Amino acid sequence: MSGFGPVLAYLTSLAVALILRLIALPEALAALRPLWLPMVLAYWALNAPERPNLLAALLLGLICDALSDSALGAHALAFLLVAYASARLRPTLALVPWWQATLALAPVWAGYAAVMTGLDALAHHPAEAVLRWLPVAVTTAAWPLVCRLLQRLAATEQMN
Amino acid sequence: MSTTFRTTARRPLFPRGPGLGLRFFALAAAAAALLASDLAGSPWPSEMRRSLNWALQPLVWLSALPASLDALGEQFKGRERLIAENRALRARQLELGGRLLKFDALQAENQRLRALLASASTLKERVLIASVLRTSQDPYRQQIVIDKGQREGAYPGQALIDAWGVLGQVIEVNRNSATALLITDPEHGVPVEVNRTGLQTIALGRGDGQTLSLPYLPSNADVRVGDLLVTSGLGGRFLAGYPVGQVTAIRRPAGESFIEAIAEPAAHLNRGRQVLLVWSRRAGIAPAGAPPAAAPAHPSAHSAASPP
Repeated sequence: MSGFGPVLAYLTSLAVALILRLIALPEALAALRPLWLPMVLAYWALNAPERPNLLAALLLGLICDALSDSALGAHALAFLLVAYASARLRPTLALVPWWQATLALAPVWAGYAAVMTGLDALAHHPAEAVLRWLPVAVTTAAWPLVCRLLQRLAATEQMN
Repeated sequence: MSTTFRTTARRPLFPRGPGLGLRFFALAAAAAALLASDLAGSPWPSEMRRSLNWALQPLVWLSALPASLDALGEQFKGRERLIAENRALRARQLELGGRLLKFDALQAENQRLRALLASASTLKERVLIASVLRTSQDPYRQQIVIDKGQREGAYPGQALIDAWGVLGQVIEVNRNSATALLITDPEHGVPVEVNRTGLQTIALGRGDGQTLSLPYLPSNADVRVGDLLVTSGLGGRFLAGYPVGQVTAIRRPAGESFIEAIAEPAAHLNRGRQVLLVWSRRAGIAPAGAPPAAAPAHPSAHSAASPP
């Protein structure tokens, strides 16, 4: 697991997730944007617990806060919760088939949305509920695909 | 497929370092502290946000790249289409330019109105904004015609001011217009006091459209260049305290026992299109149809500016 390849896969996946989050989408599609960063963070928390996933969550959260002009620490806190919850779910999810894992992770995304909604209210900057909760469904649907892609990426990097 | 997760190759039996829960709580506490101080409005989180934003500019640029690529496609548009677009834009530009010409005038007018409103609010008198319809073309008569008359309750002898000072008084009221005599007209006098000393006197127009005269001051009168003249309120026609002008020169006619002060009006005569009609409290008592009592030409008749 050690070496340059896996580290590159780790960093690449996080960077791509960040860029996918930032890319401008038409307004109709923007509400359907999956939670790319929580997904990738959850994947690494589930598959590579020895990586500094919590630290990555904090730093990426701060970056998102700076770029999206939310209160500094809001995304960081929510990402940390996702990474932590996924890490705690790891022993359970390792034993169940992929579709059960997909369903079991839905509450994690919902928790992320709930934390962000709460922090929005705290910062007196309420977002539309649909924009917060619709991505939960989209993320759940996208999880198996993203999971498979990341596995492929990690495998190729390891071969190299 | 029983599991989607690989088992880790290397998993220490006795993990060193803080556990997952402890690490999570430490980092979460840091994030929460940051969040709290940002929400409390302390300055350093915003400083940090600015630095982060600056450092992340390449990332923002990278994420905007698809949109830029889309814009690149625009460059290969048909020539005909570009020419048509150019023509349409030219027409639009001409139209907008024409409209903009008017905006400049409107903006200036707005500023003048605002200045007038501000002066009205500080004076706390009943006022009405009037527009200047025309000014007298006769060089010996400094008069203006305003668009408010009997219908709006204007009356002869009513004071007229602008944002900077006293402008004149109404001498003739028509149904929906009124003629006003400016303070620089030789037939006009306004009771003033020197703001610095309280010296009471009368400011008469000199007829040149630019200056006022304070004649027959005792030779030992304390008047200096730069003194501000304000309405004294005597005579009841003008309310007290409005700026009238500023002394610009003192004259000592040879062989006479009095001095004369020359003043420049504070009001912007012939420079604005909006003026304010002011209702003085005594006007309510005096009959509206009272004959106009603008100061006569002869300076000796000081009583003209005294109460009717």
